This record gives sequence, C-alpha cells and structure tokens, in this order.
Amino acid sequence: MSAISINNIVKDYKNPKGENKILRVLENVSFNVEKGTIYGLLGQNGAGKTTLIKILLGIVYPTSGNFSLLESKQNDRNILEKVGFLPENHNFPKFLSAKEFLYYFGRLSHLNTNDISIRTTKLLDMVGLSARSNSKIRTFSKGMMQRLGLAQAMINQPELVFLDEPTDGVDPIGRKEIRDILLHLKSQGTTIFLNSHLLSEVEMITDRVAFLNKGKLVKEGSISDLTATKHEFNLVLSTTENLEHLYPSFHIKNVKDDIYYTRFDNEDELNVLIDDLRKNNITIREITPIKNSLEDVFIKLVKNTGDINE
Amino acid sequence: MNNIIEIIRFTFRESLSKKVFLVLGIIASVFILGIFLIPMDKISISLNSNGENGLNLGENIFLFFQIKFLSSIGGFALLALTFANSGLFSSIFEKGTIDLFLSKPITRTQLLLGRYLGGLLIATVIIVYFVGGAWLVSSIKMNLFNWYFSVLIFSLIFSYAIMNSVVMLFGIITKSGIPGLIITFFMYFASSLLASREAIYQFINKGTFITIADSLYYFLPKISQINDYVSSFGDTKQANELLNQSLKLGTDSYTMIFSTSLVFLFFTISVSVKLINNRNF
Ligand SMILES: Nc1ncnc2c1ncn2[C@@H]1O[C@H](COP(=O)(O)OP(=O)(O)OP(=O)(O)O)[C@@H](O)[C@H]1O
Ligand SMILES: [Mg+2]
Repeated sequence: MSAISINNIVKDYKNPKGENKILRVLENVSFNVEKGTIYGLLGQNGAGKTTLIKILLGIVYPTSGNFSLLESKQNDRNILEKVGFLPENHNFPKFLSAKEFLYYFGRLSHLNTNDISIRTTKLLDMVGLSARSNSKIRTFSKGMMQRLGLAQAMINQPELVFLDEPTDGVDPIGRKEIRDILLHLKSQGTTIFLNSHLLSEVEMITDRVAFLNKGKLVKEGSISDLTATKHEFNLVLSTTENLEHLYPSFHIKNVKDDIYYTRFDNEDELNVLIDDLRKNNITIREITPIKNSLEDVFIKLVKNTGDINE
Repeated sequence: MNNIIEIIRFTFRESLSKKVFLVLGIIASVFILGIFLIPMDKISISLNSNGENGLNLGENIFLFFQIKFLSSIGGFALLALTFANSGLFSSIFEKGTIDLFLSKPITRTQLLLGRYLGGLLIATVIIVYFVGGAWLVSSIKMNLFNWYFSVLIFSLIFSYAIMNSVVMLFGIITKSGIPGLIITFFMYFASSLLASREAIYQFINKGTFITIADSLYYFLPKISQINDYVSSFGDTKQANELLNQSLKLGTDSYTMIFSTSLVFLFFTISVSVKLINNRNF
C-alpha cells in the first residue's frame, strides 16, 4: 500500500529574472512512499523539495503530472483530514496561545472540541511545551515554535505527516527528542515524509530517501542500499611487517598505526587475504566493512550532476 | 459551512487581540456619551405647527438632523472599519501562514469567504453599536423614535460589504493591505463626487469627460448615494423633502443605485474567488 504516489510531476514557474523563459522547478518526478515508513527527500537549496510537498498538499498546482495521497483521488481535499503538515519558515498567528493555536487548527481538521483538548494536553507534553501552553506564540523562541508546529502537525492523529525541515532551529537534545517522536509515530503506523538538510539525522531514522537535484530525481532507494559500498574494509592488525609490500596484489593501504584499508573486486578475495594473514601469524583484531555516510553519497551525487550556481 | 464558521471565529479572535473592538468601541462610546451630554430640548417652533405626519416642525427638523447625523457617523465608521480590517486578507496570505491553512481540509473559497464574512460581522457589531447607540441616546433624550434608522444600519453594512470586497480583491492581487485600503478610500470619496457628476457637467461639458465619468459612475459602487438615499427615506415627509433639496439627488433611481452596486459587489467577490483558486502560494 502506498501512502504517496507521485507520477511525472512537472512544475514550471515564470522566470523570476523577468526573461520570457520558464523556470522548471520539478522535472518528471515520480516515486512512491510505502505506508508506515519514514521517507526523506533530500537536495540542495532550491532543488524543489518544498515545492513538491506544496504540490502534494494542493498549495501549489503542478504544471503536469499527477499524484495521490493515501490512495485518494487527486484534489480530494477531504483526505487532508488524515494528513499533517509542518511548513518551513512558518509564521503562526502570533496573537494565539499555544493551546488556542492547536484548537483552531484542530477545528479546521474537523476534530471535535473534546478530542482537541485531549490531544492538546498530550501533544504539548510530548513536545515539551506543557508549561507554556497558555503563553502567546509571539513570546516563543524559534525552537519552541518549531516544537509547537510539530504538535500542530500531529493534532489530528494523521496517517501521513509532511515535515519541511522539522529540526530547523532546534537544539541537539531537542533534535533527538524529535527523532524519538518520529520513530514513535512510525511505530504506530504513521507515514512520515520529511525534507531535510541534516543528512546524518535523516540517515538515523529514514527507511528510504530520494535525492532531488535541480528538480530532477537523481537517486532513490533505501538507506542501506545507498550507503553500502562494494567490498571495502578496514582491518586492524598486529604486525610489524609492511603489509603494503607483503601483499602487493591486494589493494592494501596503511591508514594509520595498525589500521589498514583494503578493497576487493569480489567477496572471496577477503577470505583469501584472511587465510594468508593467518598463515603468516598476523593477528586480526578487527575487520569492519566501510559504509558511506548519506553525506558522502549526497556529495558524490551533486558533484556528478553539477552545482546549483551555474 | 463549518469551515467557514471556524474561519469567522478565528477572524473574530484575531480582531479581539488586535484591539479593533476595543479602540472602535471606545471611540463610539465617547461619541455616544457626548450626545448624551448635549443639552437637547424640544423647541416647539409653533409656526406651521403640525406637519402631515402629526409632528411639529421642530420635531421634524430634529429627525432630519438625526438621520443625517447618524449617516455621517456611519460614514466615519465605514472608513475606520476599512482601516482596522485592511490587513484581514494580506495577513493570511503571508508565507508560512497560508501554507498551514491550505494544508487543512478546507477549500480556498471557504477560507476567503470565512475571512470576508468575519470582517463583515465585525463591522456589523461596530456599526450597530455606534449608529444604534447614537440613535438610541438621542431618541431617548428627545423622546422621539424614528425606527427608520434601522434601514440605515442595513445600508451601512451593505456599503461595508462592498468596501471589504475591494480590500479583499486588492489584498489577493498585491498580498498587502495598503493598496486595497487606499483604493477603497479613494472609491468612497469618488462615489460622492460622481453622484453629483451632473452638476460638474455644467462646467466641464466635454464628451469624453462625460463618457468616462458616466462609465465610472455606473461601474463603481454608489456608497455615498446608498446611504444618502436611505437617510432621505425617513418616514417624515417634510424632512424627506428638505433632504432631497439639500442633497440635489438628481435623477438617479434608487433601484439603479442598489442594483449596480450589487453587481459591483458580486464582480469583486467572484474575481477574488477566481484569483485565489488559481494562485500558487
Ligand atoms: N512562487 C515561486 N515563483 C517562482 N519561483 C519559485 C516560486 N517558489 C519557488 N520557486 C523556485 O523554485 C525552486 C525550488 O524552490 P523550493 O522552495 O522548492 O526549494 P527547496 O528544495 O525547498 O530549497 P530549500 O532547501 O532552500 O528549502 C527555487 O529555485 C525557487 O526559486
Ligand atoms: Mg525548502
């Protein structure tokens, strides 16, 4: 079952530079998000991440292509009862208190007053704002507003949540709390779609990611597939010998002290090396496969596809 | 429908915290208190003692001034309300606010109409309090009750409905409250100028000028005339005649004034609805 399915979405804007050309912000983007997963949409500034979320929510109209949320018809606004959203650079009505804010936006999600008050208490506690529930939003710090925004996105117990930079402006402890909240939501079956620049965080919680570059989907896959490398290992050995000379046929490099790096063309070669090392009475203390971080993958992708500032 | 009601409630809440009710309420109260403090007496001018309506001339003159006075208080209320509510539309179109509203199961038309009706309701409360209060206090003092004032309340609300729709339209086009405010004020004064366009034709008698002024007149809402006409319809016939003379209302018919203004109102609302539904936020 897919929570989001996106089919050949194209979005053109009139060129802001005033020329008569059009600016293609999204180009034939297609992918699916499975229900109950955490999905990350990554890309540089201006890649089109926010635009894609806005299209899915009906805030911006696509030039062409179609999509469906929770298997509903496109443009069925009632499905939004089951959807939550935390916008980027949000600007909440500052004259409301935290509680009132959740009240009005809960009402717009068609909740009854009773449900709202139960959810409000629970959510404000969850995001750590219970003590400030009656304070006006204008007195909130950036991170507090972000937390409130997150509570707002969950007020209707959504089946699908869109979060645009959810940890923007939040301190490290708060970021960890938010990650825990998201994992908790996922355990309850909620699908989470998030935009973020903080790749290390995305890596910690997402199941799959898509990379957008200048409006094009350049890569899509599970975190483990994307970060896995082909047969690269770090070895920690106890030896006084110069292994680089001893095994010239293996690509062995001394990284530092007794740590060596090696890369194979296929997995069997690792075992050949191990046999050899043991034969020479070299103690193997550790063998660890090297994984790329999401950041490495991202930087490689961007390098291959060019820079935004052309 | 519920969506619209929620937006109306939200708009009221906003108005309360932005002190719109407080400020306009205080101004109105000071005014009403002032009327209360003015010494008023029934001067019985005995010449021509009884008019056709059974009231004497003094009483008729009072009613004439009362409705004129209420109508000018109303005019002030319209401008003050337009000013106070000018940010009503631009504020929800701000980046980061509109996204949140539009991510809810509510249509853009509902959001817009909720906001519009919210502003109209705020205006209704203020107009009823201000004009109604001034009427009540002065009527009690004179012990003379002209219930016709309630029609004036409706015509003022109708006028505000038109002015608010212009603020709405320009709020959508420019994403700011100021242009709509300026244009509405301008339109308000233009409407009284255009109402006496026939007098102006006495000395500017060029064909193109007449065509332009006439077209503008028929296109634009006739805010000043609506209220002048209504206030000239008091049930005191003598006052009515006096007023008609003093205003030189000319030949424009009441039906024409109302219907063309109504057409203008529908026009601005439908253009606004169309624009908001086509916009990428
Ligand atoms: N209303 C608009 N009119 C014209 N161009 C727009 C409009 N909104 C966005 N764009 C352009 O679309 C592109 C993508 O913007 P978008 O906000 O989707 O980027 P993003 O990936 O979310 O970036 P960031 O990481 O900085 O948030 C940018 O080049 C931006 O200038
Ligand atoms: Mg963005």
